[in-house]
Formats: sequence, structure tokens, C-alpha cells
Amino acid sequence: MSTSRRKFLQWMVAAGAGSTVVKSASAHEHFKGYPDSYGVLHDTTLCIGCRSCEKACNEVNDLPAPDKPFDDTSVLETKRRTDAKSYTVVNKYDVGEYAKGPVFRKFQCNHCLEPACASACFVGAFTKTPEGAVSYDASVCVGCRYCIIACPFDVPTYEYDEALTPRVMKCTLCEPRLKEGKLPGCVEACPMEALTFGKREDLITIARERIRKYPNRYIDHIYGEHEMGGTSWMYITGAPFEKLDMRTDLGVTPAPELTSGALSLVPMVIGVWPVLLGGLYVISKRKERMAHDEKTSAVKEAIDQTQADADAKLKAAMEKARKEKETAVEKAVTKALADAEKERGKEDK
Amino acid sequence: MSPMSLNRKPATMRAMVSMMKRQKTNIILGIIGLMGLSVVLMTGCGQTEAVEQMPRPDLVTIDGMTVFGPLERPAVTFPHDLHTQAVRDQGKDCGLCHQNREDGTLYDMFMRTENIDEKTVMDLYHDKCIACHQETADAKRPSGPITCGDCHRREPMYLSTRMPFGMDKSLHYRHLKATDNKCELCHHQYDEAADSLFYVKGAESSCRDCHTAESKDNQPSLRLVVHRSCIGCHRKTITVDATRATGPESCSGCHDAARQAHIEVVKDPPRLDRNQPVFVLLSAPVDELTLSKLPTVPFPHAEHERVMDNCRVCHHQTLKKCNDCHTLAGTEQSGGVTLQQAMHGMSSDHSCVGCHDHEKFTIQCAGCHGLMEQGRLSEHACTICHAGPEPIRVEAMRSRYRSLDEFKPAISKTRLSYDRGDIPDTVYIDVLSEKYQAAVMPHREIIDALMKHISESDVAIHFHGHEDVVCQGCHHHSPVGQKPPLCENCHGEPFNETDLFKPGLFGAYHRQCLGCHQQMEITKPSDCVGCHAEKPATGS
Repeated sequence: MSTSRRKFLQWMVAAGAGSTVVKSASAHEHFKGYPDSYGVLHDTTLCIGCRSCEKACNEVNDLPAPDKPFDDTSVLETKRRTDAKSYTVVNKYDVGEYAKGPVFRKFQCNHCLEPACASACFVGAFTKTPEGAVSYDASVCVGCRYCIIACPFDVPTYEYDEALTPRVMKCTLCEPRLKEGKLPGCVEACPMEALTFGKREDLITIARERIRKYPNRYIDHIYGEHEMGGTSWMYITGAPFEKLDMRTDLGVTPAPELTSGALSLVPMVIGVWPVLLGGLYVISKRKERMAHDEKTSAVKEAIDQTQADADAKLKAAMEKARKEKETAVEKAVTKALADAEKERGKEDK
Repeated sequence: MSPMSLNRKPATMRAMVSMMKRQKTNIILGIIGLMGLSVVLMTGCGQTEAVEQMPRPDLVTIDGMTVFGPLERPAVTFPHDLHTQAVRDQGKDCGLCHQNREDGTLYDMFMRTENIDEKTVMDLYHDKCIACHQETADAKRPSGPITCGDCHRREPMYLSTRMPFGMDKSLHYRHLKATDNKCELCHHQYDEAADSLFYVKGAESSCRDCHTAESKDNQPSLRLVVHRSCIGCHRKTITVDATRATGPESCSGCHDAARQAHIEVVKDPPRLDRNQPVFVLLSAPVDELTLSKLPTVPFPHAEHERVMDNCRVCHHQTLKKCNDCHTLAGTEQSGGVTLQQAMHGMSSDHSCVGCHDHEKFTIQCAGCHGLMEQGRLSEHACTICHAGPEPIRVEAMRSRYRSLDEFKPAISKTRLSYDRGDIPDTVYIDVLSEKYQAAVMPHREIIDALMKHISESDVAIHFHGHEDVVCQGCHHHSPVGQKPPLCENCHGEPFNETDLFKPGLFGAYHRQCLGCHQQMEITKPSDCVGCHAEKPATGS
């Protein structure tokens, strides 16, 4: 059956109404993170820039060996960022009067509570797990790299060297190790416990306690408690964050909330339309089928009725015929009997 | 962009639109003409391009006109020393700009003794400044600006490098010596009835006690009086005897960083005499002694004078006794600050505890104290200070004591009570040894170094007098004793959810050792093997 123009227009109107419903249903509610999810607190006042974390990260993730060995601290002289071969880097900062010496800051995926990468990914390759990690599924990734652009912390990188199966590369919060009951590689290796692993709520308590105990040592702010809607990886420092190249212009609104208006159209296009149109098709098909069924049954009924009528008529006719026959027989018998009586009377005379 | 040029923009555009209809050449000429006009207007309005500001210590902002209301143009930044020198080079004196008082000092206002009215004062500045600059320029000498915008600049030509300056103990002593102890030359009191100044020997106080930051009634601000008195006296001295050494008359003489560094410093000048006590028992005011519970605080006043720069470090408003204002419950005069708060305020620069706490962060002390919780004293600390007689007995005892030693047993506080042999010489930390060999810690050497630092400071000696308290720098949160618990007795696996704030053993060792090294700015070790050598590779 071909779709008429009229029907198609009806579908479009229906689809418009559907999309309105989708938009209003996606109005953002503040997500405070999964309860009891894990995270890491990085205390830059304790970090000594030994790069043990970088080394451990490299080992537990089977990443390629770096150009310079991890115990070579001369690499700290230049500012580095994460790349496909390193999920984490430590950078060195001169913060002037805020510290007696240089300050070091470890840098990796912050595992946002509401990740920008995930909101930008239209195939859903990123998932915020209830345990805390923002995990990446290379098997569904189409390589658009929107995540790299979306990340406010410039974290995800790409395997540009890989010709056939390039992946987005970023810290996994050692999710596989956590499942084995182990600590993230970097945390386990840190000699200063400048990285504290624990439940995010506990980490905030620890951070607050440190700031309370050493008011002269810390800036009274936990970076990541609210930035971009909150992150699982948080920082406390002794120097203003901008001195450590940490963005202070991010605000506290999670990325998905900022983009949900525009991005809500994406699931509508790729999700709602096929479902809606498919649904309409099914409904229409069903109608046709029902009409067909009705007609068939009507015909059948009609036939049955006719049959019944015919049978009844036949039966009546037969009855009539039988009755007429009986009457005729009776008449004939009566006449025959009368004729015979008459004959007998003649003979008797 | 100036408001003027902003205002001109629509006009320019309207003009351009109307001209569009005319010939091409007319349009081009018109645009060029308007551009030229706006350039002229802009420069005429004093909007010169940003220039690199010249650093000077002698900048005076001429804002005297603010008494009449908000200024119409940016205040003039005036390089005073540059003018003093120019005036002198012309063979003239300060009288060119400042009128003389009867006592020989100068009025600080420019060419007037009072602010008459706005118009008069403004004209005075404009006429006199511009006239002098014009004259000087005509005489082919380097001169100052004559157009409005060159003086009234939003971006001043100069950057102030003025350093604050005050009279420290050394300078005070040098003035005393130079004036044969004539305190009355500077110190005075004010007789309100007679509206005159008088001097009382032994009642001298800090200038700031009366002369505050802002002038009020006939009480000029500190800034005004010190410039008037100091420079006045220096000028007078040199007028009387040109050969006599005296203090500076110029701005940079006091406020230039380089010249400040060259001011002669008398080390350990003799104690100032103002009938202050050598030794005092700090207590609540006499009428509150029965309400006061803690023992009094024996306080070596003279010792504190020796280390302080001036009396104001503690006596922040007057040179009265602390408990004259700070009573047990506080008074209106003390702003409600109680005696307890005044003495223990952790964030105050004037309180005992605030000042002592600050000392803990010097390099020698920070190794231990920098790692300890800040802003809190242990309960055991109370009796270190509160070691005097009971408050109710204080009046009777007051004259009996002359020094702190009478309250402290005469033990040597610079030595531990243990035998040296009982202190481990070297400690091998191998409990975590895995990749590396045991860390070798020169235990006794560290203690010796810390004890040496303590012995070099009177305040450190006093507060470490408590038995073996120095060990607690590392062996913390456990009883003091010769056999402290092992680190691993408390510190175990890291990230214990039931004991959130305690680091694991691995972290505890590194934090304690490296934390102290960082605080004391000890650069060793530069890497891991500086403390523990790598283990030889197995299987070789």
C-alpha cells in the first residue's frame, strides 16, 4: 500500500508535537553524583613532582615507553599535556610568594559527574559509571572527536598514529583495577599520599579538614567540588588556581545542562523520528489489517447469513412440498377410496 | 576613546551618509577632514597614547580640590623632588610654593594657608603652575607641561615606588642622641581648654595614638604632622648650622627603597626609659582579681622590648597597661575585646599567642610546627605562660619577683633530659622496603640540629622547656617518652574509611620527612635514592 500525501502530512504534524514533548521532558535536574561513588583528591601542597604517578599509570595501562625515563625530572621544565601515550602528566609551576618552592600539579581526566564528553558523544561511547569513572567504549566510537572539543579540561586525546582502529585516549580511573579491589595505579604509587582515593563525599570532608587545620597553607576552595557541576577528581592548592593553569572561568553548571537545549535535538533526530515514524507505520498497518479483517468477516457473515437464509427457505419449501405432497396423497387416497365406494355401490345395484 | 570622540561618531556617520550622494572626491576629502578634526579634538582633550610609566618614590597626588566636591578631571600626579631640585637649581627655596609658618615650618598646601573657595584654589594652581612652566621653558630650561591633558592624565606618567617609612628603635635612639634626650621636641600632649600643646615627662606616647590616618578638627593626620615636624626640624637644623648632619628634606630621602637601605642602624640600642616595668605579672585588673582563676603570667617586659621594633607591636593604641582597657568581660574602650581575647587572639598581630604563633613559621621552627595543626594550642600550653602566683596573691607578690628565672627551675632547656647514648644514632627504616633498600635516617644528627636552632632563640628555649617536647615534632600524637610507639603502630593501610584523616604508613613517612625538609628549605634529597638506595636487581 502506498502512503498518500495526506497521510504523510499528518505524520509530520504528529512528529512536531512529539518533539515538543521530548524537549520539555529533558529539562535538566541537578545531578549531585552517584551516591558512594569514588574519586581522588589531589593535594598540590604535598606533591613533590617525582612523577611516580606517571610511571605507574604507564605501567598499569600498558602504554608505550616514553622518550625520557620517568625518573628524569628535567621534563618538568616544559609544560606538557596528556597525549595518546600518557593519560596523566605532572607540570611544574612557579607561584611566587604562595609557596617556598615550585608547585607541582598532576593532570588527567577529572571524571566529571556530568561529563561534557558524554553529552557531546552521539553514539554514547562515554558512560559515567556509578563507581565514579567516565568510561569509554571504543567499540561504538565513530571517531568524530567531538569529545576532545567538548572537554573543558582539554583531557581526551586521539590515537592519530593508529591507521585502522584509532581510539580516544584518556584516564580510566583504573576502572578495571578498582573492580579487582586495587587502587588506581597513580594513587598507589604516590609516596606523599598527595593523591587520596576514596568516596567523593569523604574526599570533600578530608579536604575541608585540611583547609581548616592549615588555613595558611591552602586556598579555601575545593576545585572540582562544584566546577562544571562537580568532578570526581578534585584539587586543593596553596596557590590561586589560575597560577597552576587551572581554569577558573568554568562556572558550576554542568556541561550537559548548557548543551541540553541544542543536543536534545540530536536524540530526537536519531532516536525519536525513527521510533515515531515507525510507530505511525505500525499503527497505519494495523488499521489496514483491521479493515481487512473486518471486511473478510463481514463477507463471511454475509455468506453465512445467505446460506442460513437459503437453508431456511429450502427447509420451508421442502416442508411445504412435503405438506403439499402429504395433502395430495391424502386427497388422492380419499378420492381413490371414494371412487372405490362408488364402484362398490354400482356392483351392489 | 574619549566621550567626546564617542559623541562625534554619529555626527561623522550622518555627515558621511549625506556626502555619499556627492562626488567621490568630496567624500574622500570629507572623511580625511573629519578624521583630522577628531585627531585634533582627541589630543586637545588630553588623551595621549599610553606611555611606559616612570617609577618615582616622590609622587604626590594633588587632590586638595576634593574638599569642594568631585574633580572634573583626573587628579594631577606631581613629582615633588623633581620640583624641589628645579627650584633649588634656580636659586630659589621652598617659599616659592609653600608659605612659612611663624615657627619656621612650612604650610603643606600649595601657595596658600587655607582652602578659600573652589574657583580661587583652581585658578591658583592653574595660573602659578602654568606661568612657572612657561617662564622656565622660555628660559630654555627643562620645564613641565602647560596644556590641560599633560597634567590631568588618566594614565599618570609616573608609577609610585614609594616605600612606607616609620621610626624604628634604632632611628628613635639616634634622634634621642642627636637632640640630647629632648623628648619634648617631638612628644607633646594637648590641652583642650587652652588649645595648646604641653609636655609631660614620662607620659610620652606614639604619634599615632592621637594623629590617626584622617585629620579631625584640630588634630591633623599622621601624614601631615610627620611631614611637617620631621622636614621642618631637618630644615631648621641645617639653617642653624649648615655643617650639622641631619635627616632628609626630600621625599626620596625617606621613601626610596634604595636610600632606606643605607640608613644607619644602631644594633641593640639602649632601652628607652618611660618608667615601664622590667618585669611584670600580667593579671586581670585589680578589681577583678577575685574573679580571675588562672595563675598570673610572669612577663619579661624588657626582654620583649629588646626584640620588638617599637612599643606599638603590643601597645596598639596607647601605652597604657593592657588591663586598663581589656578587662575580663571587655569594655567599651576595648571594643568588647576581653583580656583573654587580647592575649590569645591567634590572628592578631598584637596578642601574645598571635605573635608567638607567627614565630613558628620561621624556617628554623617550621620543620616541626609547619606540619602541626594551625590556630590551636594544646591544653598543656596554658601552664607554660600561666606560671605566676594566684591572682588573689598578685598584689602582695608583685614587687617580689624581678625575673622570669624565678618562676622556671634553673634547668638548662637546651639539652634533652636523656643521655645522649640513649638517643638512637641512626635509624634504618625498612618496614616498607620493596623496590628500595632501607632508608637511612641520621636520627641523632637531626635532633642535634633541631636543638641547636632552639638554643639560638630565647622564645624557643622558653617554650621547649617542657620535657623533651622536641621529640614530638616527629613522634606526635603519642605520650612523650624515651620509647615512643613505632610509626606503623598507628599508620597502616592508606585510605581507611573509618579513619579518614590519618595517612597510610607509606604516605606518613614521606610526608613527615619531606614535609619537614620542604618547610626548612632543605634541598636534600633530590631524588628517591637520596634516602634509600635502589635494591640490586634480583637474579643477576
